[in-house]
Amino acid sequence: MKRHYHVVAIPIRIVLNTFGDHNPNGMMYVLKENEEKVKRLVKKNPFMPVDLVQPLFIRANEGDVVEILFENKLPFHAGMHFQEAEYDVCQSDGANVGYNKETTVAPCEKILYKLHLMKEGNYYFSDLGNVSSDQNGSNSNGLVGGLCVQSRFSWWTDPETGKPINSGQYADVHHPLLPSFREYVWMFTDEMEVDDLTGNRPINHFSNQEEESFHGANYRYEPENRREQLVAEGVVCPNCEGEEVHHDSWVFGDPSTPILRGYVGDPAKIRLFHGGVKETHVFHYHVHQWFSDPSDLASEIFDAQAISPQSHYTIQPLYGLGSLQGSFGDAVIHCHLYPHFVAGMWGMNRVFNTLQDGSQCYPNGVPIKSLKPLPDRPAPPKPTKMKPGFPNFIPGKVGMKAPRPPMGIVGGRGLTELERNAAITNPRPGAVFTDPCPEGAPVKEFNISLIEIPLIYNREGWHDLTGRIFVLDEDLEDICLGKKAPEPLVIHESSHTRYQINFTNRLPHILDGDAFQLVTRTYEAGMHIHFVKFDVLVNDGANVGWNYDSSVLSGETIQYSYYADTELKAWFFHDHLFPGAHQQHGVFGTGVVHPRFTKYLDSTTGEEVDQGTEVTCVNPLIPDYRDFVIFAQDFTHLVNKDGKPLAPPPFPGSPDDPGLFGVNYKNEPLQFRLGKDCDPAYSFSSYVKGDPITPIFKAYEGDSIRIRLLQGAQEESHSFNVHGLRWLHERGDLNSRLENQQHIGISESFTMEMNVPRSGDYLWTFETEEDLWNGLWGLIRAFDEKVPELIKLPDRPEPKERSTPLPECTGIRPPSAADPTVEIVKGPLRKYDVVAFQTSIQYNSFGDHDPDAIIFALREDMEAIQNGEIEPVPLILRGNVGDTVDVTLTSYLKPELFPFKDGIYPYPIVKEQAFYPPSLRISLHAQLLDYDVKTSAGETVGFNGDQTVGPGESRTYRWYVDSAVGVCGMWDMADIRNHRSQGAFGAFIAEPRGTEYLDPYTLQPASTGASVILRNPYLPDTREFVIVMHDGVRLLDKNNQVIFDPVDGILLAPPGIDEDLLDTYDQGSRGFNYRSERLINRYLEHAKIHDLFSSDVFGDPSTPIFESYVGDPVTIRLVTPAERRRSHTFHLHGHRWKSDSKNIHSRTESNVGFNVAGAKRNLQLLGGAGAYNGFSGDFMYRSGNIRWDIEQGMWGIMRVFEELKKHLPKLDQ
Amino acid sequence: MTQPNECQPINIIREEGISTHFSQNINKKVLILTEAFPFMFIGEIISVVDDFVEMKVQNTSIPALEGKTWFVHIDSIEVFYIETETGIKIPELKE
Amino acid sequence: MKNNKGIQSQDFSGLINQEVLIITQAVQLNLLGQVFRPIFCGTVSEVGIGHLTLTPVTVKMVNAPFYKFPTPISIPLEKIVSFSTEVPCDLVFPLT
Repeated sequence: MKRHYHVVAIPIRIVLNTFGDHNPNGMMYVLKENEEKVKRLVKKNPFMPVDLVQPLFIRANEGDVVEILFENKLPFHAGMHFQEAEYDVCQSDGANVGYNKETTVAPCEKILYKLHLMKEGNYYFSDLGNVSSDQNGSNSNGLVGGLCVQSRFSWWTDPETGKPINSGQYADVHHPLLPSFREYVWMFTDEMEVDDLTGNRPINHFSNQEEESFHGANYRYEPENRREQLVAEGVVCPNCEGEEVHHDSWVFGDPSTPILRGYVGDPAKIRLFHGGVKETHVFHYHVHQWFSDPSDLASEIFDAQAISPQSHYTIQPLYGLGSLQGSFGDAVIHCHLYPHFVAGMWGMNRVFNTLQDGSQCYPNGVPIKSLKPLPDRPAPPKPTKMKPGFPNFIPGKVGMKAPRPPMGIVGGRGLTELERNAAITNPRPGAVFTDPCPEGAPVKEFNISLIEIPLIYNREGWHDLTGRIFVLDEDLEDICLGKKAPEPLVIHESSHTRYQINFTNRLPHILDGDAFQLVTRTYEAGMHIHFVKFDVLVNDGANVGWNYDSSVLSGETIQYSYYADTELKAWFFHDHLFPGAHQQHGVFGTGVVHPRFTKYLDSTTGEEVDQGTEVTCVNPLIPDYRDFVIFAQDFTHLVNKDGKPLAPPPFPGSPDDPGLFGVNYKNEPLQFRLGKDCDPAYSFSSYVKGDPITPIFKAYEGDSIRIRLLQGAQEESHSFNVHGLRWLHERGDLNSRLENQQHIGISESFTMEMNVPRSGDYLWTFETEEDLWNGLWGLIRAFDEKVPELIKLPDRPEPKERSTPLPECTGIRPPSAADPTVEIVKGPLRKYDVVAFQTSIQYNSFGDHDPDAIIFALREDMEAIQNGEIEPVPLILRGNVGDTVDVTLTSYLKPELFPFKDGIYPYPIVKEQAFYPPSLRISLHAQLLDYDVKTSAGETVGFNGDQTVGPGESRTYRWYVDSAVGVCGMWDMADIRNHRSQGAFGAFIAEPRGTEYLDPYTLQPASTGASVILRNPYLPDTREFVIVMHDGVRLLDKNNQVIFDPVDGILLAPPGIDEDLLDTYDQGSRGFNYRSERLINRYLEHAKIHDLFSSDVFGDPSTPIFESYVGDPVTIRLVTPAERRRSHTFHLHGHRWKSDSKNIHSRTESNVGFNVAGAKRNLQLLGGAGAYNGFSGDFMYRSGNIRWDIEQGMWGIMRVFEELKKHLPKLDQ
Repeated sequence: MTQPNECQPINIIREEGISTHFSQNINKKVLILTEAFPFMFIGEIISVVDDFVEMKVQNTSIPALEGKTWFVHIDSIEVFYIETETGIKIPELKE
Repeated sequence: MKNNKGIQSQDFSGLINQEVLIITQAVQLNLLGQVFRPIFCGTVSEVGIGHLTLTPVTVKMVNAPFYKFPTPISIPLEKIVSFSTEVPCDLVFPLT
């Protein structure tokens, strides 16, 4: 079916909340039919939000052809670029790329876009006419929207009136064969320009400094600062502090942000889009869980999910609204990154249990808008005086904090009459209005307290004076007396357990002030839980909407009740009343829900336990396993042993990335790992400085292990990697791809299940430069023979008695690792002779270059690279399944060629810069391949031998290609400060058996290269394009001046731009494959921003041009071997792929989020080059981050020809 | 109609029984779900050939496969519904 | 042999008018993009030699566990992996 929309881009004042905070220079897409109305309403309401001012959300069905007549009323060229859709790139790209026809439009002009909607799902659209990341750019000002594509034969109505609608964030979607559902569109937006009522930047009333930047959803935000001001000024809620009532509708009424309304059990889909420009957010939705991939029932269950800019998901809550237990009330939805949550990035899902026909009011007298029941579901009961339904049976007082729940607080109150009428038959503490637990479920009681205690993070005495941690009451004394080391609380139980938690708040009323934060009265606390089933009204451990405040004051105890319905991952718990103030001090823990009938043993003594970050699990039916829990932390407020604050923020209370990092309340910074010879190559070696203080998880060779990965605090993305081990990405799906890396944001939880094939020390890292530098790494130590500190797994053979003593710290460089090549090779052997040396790399034709780069190359190419006959590119190696690959690495590093011999690398920096002189040794580590970490991990770790090479030395690594895993990152692990971001990385690609690699232009066999043809007798000829995404590069311009990217690359930047807006990890230049087509260079030649991607104007960019013919099979190998913590989104125009190339059930998408160090994906383009509809032209591949990637050069072109070209032989099919 | 026969394994009898059921409903509209792609067929039963049902397909999950005659292996049908004159109608699917 | 559930060798007619929960073989089914496990609960309205029919029938979709399907559903007996007459159709249970 053909649909038609007329969309206009207009300038509009966007009022973001009822406090009058607004963006005076907002821009939006709007349907033509609403244009005049919205302008009129905004004019009439200059300081109040107008409903029609929301990102444009339109709808269509799968299979439709949608025509968009786009009209531009902005003062610059603008357009609409659609992700996921197929379209003629010369007609409907909404951009001006390569040699395509321009498809942005000048002011006052129109263009017709024609889109083919191939698949149900979220289609993001945004402007590419003005990609400036600054406040003059279009995207951060609101020029984004979403097209929600439904199953064929669907139609949609207004949830309030039941009438058909053409656009809007809420719709009820209906279908002849499928259940009707509530569709809510939630679009994160960030970094928008905000003025307050006076026209100035908002000031935080607490710190008296400028407020944190805008973080909201659907052009709205509800900042804690604004609400707190009303408390501070005595308007509402006497004696309250602020954060604890931030989400409390009893105090403030409902927020301006989205409230997603429905009835208990209603099926729902949240179309989640990231329309922001910079940050990777974590979407968290209380009470509910969903499949990570709604099209794959074997995929993981999430209740918090990170999302990178310009990417999107459909969140389909399991069991409908209120989840399995049918809980009703307000479930908050928020970005879990606390500074964003505090800034106002939250809303809620309001689940009613009585019919809303428009005749009812909220307790504050605001009418409850009517809500049509879904037509295929029974209508909920009408409210009566005795049973008024949520929220009108709750005995709260408007203007005051929400009441405490009945029954839960020890020594507290019982039920009122109305509460009794609303309650279940047999209410109990924690389960009053819904009972999540089936009768007869075994009950497990835990007594948990939240306490304040200093935490010492490392041997240098870095410590957090006001550590705040959860502990079991039985350990209180031992922990307070120092007899037991504090660690994040991890409790273990099996599924089908009713948890009874007696939670006592033992915190002092006051969180003391210091260089990091101001004195805060954190007088109440609760225990909010993820994943498990519970009654949200009384048991959320939070204070949300019209619910109860289910926390307690200092000295009080509250009883909570949860149910683990199935084997779950590690369910996160934390305080929800003052998390912005104190979660970074350690207020987090987890409960692991194991398979039924499991027992948990202390790994040393074998005694049965119910807590611990490291336990041994025994089950009568499934293999026994070791269970390891790792919590990442950032914003960790540490002082050194002398009390000097480490990485303090610019002022106390600033959300500007205060503090350092931790893992399980520990860190092992690399600056303290240098031995006497000060060689960074041995930073991870236990021979030189002993074992790290961070967790060393123990196993015997052959043991099965589960790693529970969580992030406890506070704002940033981290990239967890395990070197030498791997797991199924979707644990429950055997079709899933293998992984050894996982991006994580706060509150996410992942379980990785694997086997430790050989003995040795396996390095786990949070791989990005600043994390690793500041000590986020540790080991998994697999013993070959018996040790007294580790019991064996009961179902595994007895380990051999110890025949050789365990290695010990010697203080000197480690012994050389054994030579792996002495073993006889079975099957094909492939050899690569690789050299590492210093050279200059030209990143583009404008003279931006890295004169001090370090690269890997094949020896046969070294001379030509040094002579300038071959331009340096990242080394790409390949091997086939079944191959043994011997890679011999020789170092030609020269000390005189390192630019900063004083040992401090000046830009990009890391927090806590320190002396770390460049290593002359180098190594080559590879991901996902099979090798013995004791000889071939390409790193010197723990008590493994030395695997690095010094100048003139060579060493051979032996890797087995046992699975066609596709692309694997490769990089140096000898010096992560002075080598890696400088270019010491590449990729290995594991191809199917029998594959040959051909140069695409000569058809001769290729030994390396980013573009090859794969030829295999059983598979179609396929073009393989390798895209190496990397950042943190130190470039000089043509005048040899350091480029301070991203600031130096910002288009339309006002003079005197504030460099403070940069986090350390944003520093440096970025690009693909040692190339960066920085738009600023182009802009300085030709100051038309919409033309900057045009090859007609500038010629082709210096980033790789990948060429093919329409319909050619194409696999893109996307890999991010380096370097910084900011995650990038990858997007290719006009094409889609399966999110997991190994899993046909996986969803299709046109973007890949979370590209941070260690990430990698194989993208088989659906329909081949030009997609199913066979379009030709220039398709841009690029980052999805407006801030600060696209401008800074992260873009290139995939060129698809229609007609045969002389220089490019066609594929033999 | 196939009658239970002690010489035949029960599985064969049931498979035959279902083929017979389809052949008794020629010209009726049927909805079929299969685990294999394209997952859904809606259309009219034209004939039954051994254990295949021949149908004129009005709808599948893929528009390009519609309006054609398909043979669906009856043993691969996961669930189905045949519209009978007194029974409930298969909903009309309109773009 | 007859059991107390009304199931007789080669004959399911004893199930007529009983509420039954039936699980079939597929890993997942797909209705226009919506995927669900083949778990059906309803009243047996018809029993043939090779199939039985549930009218009305609930399809246990993960996002809508009590979805009343718009038509009856017939299930080939050979596709049935397991069934029970002791699971009421309004029972709440995990589907993951």
